[in-house]
Amino acid sequence: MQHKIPDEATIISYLHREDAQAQLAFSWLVELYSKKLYLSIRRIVRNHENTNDILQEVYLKIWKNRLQFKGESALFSWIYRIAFNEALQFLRKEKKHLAIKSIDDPIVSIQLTANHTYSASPEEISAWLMQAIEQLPIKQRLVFEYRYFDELKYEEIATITGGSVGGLKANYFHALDKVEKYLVRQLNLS
Amino acid sequence: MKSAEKNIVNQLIKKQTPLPNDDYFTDLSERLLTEIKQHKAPIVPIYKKLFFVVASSAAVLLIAISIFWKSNTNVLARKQLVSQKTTAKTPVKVTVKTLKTSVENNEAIIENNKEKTEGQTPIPIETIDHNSDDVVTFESLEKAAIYSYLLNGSDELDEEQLSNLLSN
Repeated sequence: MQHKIPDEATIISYLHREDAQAQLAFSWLVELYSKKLYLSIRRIVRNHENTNDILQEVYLKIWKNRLQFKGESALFSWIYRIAFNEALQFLRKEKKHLAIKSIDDPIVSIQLTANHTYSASPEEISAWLMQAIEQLPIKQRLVFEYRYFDELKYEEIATITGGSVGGLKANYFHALDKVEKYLVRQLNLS
Repeated sequence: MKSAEKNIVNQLIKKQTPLPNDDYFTDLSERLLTEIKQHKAPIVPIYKKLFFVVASSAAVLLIAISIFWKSNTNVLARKQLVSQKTTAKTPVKVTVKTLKTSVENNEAIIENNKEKTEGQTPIPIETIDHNSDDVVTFESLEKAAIYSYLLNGSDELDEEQLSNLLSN
């Protein structure tokens, strides 16, 4: 069912009202952000089952903490930050229990440009790209993914992950360099 | 690295893998809405409210200051000693704030009072022990009260009350 979703200020004001109106605002948030959050979380935890659990947890946290959000930052930054923290917390727990579950197919695949000169297939390159990303340190990986796949601005990434814009830029370029080198090595081997 | 290879990541066309189908998101939305309806509006406990924290801290601070003040006030301690008639067996210590009066003056006052209470049981003043400059030890509260009266004077006792105390 498609209906018009009001602007961010209205959603925030509704979130702060009585239960019925707050629930309406919450349903708008689910409609607006659940797909984006799904992708964002899945890129961190790598499989659907865990993404599903975390996504629900994120929305329940949004509901419980809605009165604490005063609009100092953009609504989406606040929501992404909750998702980011939940996903990282999950990863830390998983590491502790050494129970790394299966990784689903990469959430992002790539196509080659029409004039590509590589002998590898798009599937191969897509898999190598994901392997390259997988090998990055966690901070570089997240910055790379937010920047490369979500095309977020550095300022927006900074509000989600914390840290300075300069530091994030450095992380992104380090990550990009490593990914490039990894892909070239794979291409030369193929 | 060749320049063509250098920008390999940027040459790739990103393509998002399809998300779970819409049913998944509809189902998710319904589950979440059911879940939040079970939650009531968060009630902020009173102890978390700032004014409560400030008020209780201030109250505790005031109580602490008043206790400290009471326990360190000589006048209050003296009045308390005079008003109480207990037979404490353990030595009672009285903090004497003003010890500027010379020993001779004290003895003269004691002698003068001894004359006033002639015929009555004399106070065994030799039992008064000076432990330090500021603290004098007595055998009982009554003696401490009399000593305090003789040394510092008192608005609380008149002569009759004093003689009653001495006769006890």
